[in-house]
Amino acid sequence: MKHLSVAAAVVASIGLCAGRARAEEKTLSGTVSDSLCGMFHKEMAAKQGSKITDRDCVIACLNYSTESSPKLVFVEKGGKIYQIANQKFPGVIRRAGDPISLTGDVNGSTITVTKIDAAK
Amino acid sequence: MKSRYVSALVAVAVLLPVSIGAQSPAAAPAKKIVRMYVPPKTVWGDPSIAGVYTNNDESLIPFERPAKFEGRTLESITPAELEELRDQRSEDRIEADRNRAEFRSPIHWFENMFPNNSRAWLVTDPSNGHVPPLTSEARQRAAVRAAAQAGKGPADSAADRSLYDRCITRGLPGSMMPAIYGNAYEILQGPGYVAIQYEMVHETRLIPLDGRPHPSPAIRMYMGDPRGHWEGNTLVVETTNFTDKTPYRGSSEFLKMTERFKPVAPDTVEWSVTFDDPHTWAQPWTFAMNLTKKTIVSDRSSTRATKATMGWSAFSMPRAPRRKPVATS
Repeated sequence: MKHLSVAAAVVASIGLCAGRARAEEKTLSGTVSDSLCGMFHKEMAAKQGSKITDRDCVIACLNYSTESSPKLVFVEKGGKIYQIANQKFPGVIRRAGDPISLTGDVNGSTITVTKIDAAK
Repeated sequence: MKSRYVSALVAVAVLLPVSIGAQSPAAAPAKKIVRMYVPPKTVWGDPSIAGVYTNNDESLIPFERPAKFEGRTLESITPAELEELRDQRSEDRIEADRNRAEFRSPIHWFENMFPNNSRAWLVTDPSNGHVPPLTSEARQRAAVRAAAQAGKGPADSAADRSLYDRCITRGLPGSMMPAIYGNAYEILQGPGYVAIQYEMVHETRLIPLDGRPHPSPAIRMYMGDPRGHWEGNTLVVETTNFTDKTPYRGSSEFLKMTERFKPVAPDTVEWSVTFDDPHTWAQPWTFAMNLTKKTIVSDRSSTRATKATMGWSAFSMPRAPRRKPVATS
């Protein structure tokens, strides 16, 4: 019984360590966009007669807010797209379309934002 | 010779701490050199502040100093704190809209979702950032108004709705307080007059600058009676002769409202408003915000008011040459 408990504790702590190792704090450069357009808003802008900015496009896409509606994403310079885990982090939507530096815990292609700065 | 060396050593000993002290970070900060913006003049010699302005960026600013800043002054708020406030206010505003059960409108309808606030709160005087308490006379007036409305529905008659609901007037300073859209104002100047046109409800104030007296107290108006003059480059407008139908925060018809339009940058005028009404507040008080010059305003909304303003803006700007119509087969 004692051996079993020790083994369970070891397995649990290894699991925890592995879990922690997967999320890594990173600072990335890029822009906040929406999951519908991703990197480019050209197609959507063309439908609107090209009169809307990238930011307006993101805001308009997010309006249809059902569970399956577009979400905010982060497009890193170079094109990698990250899902934003904490969509309501203050300032994320306000800076949509602007070049920014985003700091957060990156886990695969998901980022949990902890800080936003203007692009340097 | 020896004494010369001694003098030199003394001088070095005296000057060294001074120069080290001047370089150390703990030294008193050097005085900032603030250059006052000087606006251009009109052809008749008044400071020129004409243009189309908006105060969209002043949306969501709390009127009074929030509790979290108790003991702080407006000047002590750092740029980083202000940026954090802007982010939080935007998010709170959007969240409030997300949580509305009955009617959730698309956020791009609004012009006040992402403001770039110029300050942390609006009340500048008294320095505690709070509107002075109402006098007992003002509280009594409010009680009488509430009693007159008691037992009535919100719209038993048209007169139960506010003058704003009925698109009659937003009064003053309401006409220049930022709302969900329609926050454009055009200031026009002519010799002896300044005119201010408000996008929402489309009222225009004509402000004489010739020092003429206010009309008889028997004459009362929704927007009061304005008189202007220049103090340096600042346009000062004193308004009296209000009616009791357009009270602001419980003010009486004896309110004297003094507005200052101070140009602080080529595209920015600081608008401050002082309320002096002993029938309502024990002491005068002031709030302030910025008006920012725009060339095109309110291009997101499709309201009638906006269309009218855009048409009007286009009218007052240089026109592009007309093209000949293209013949169609």
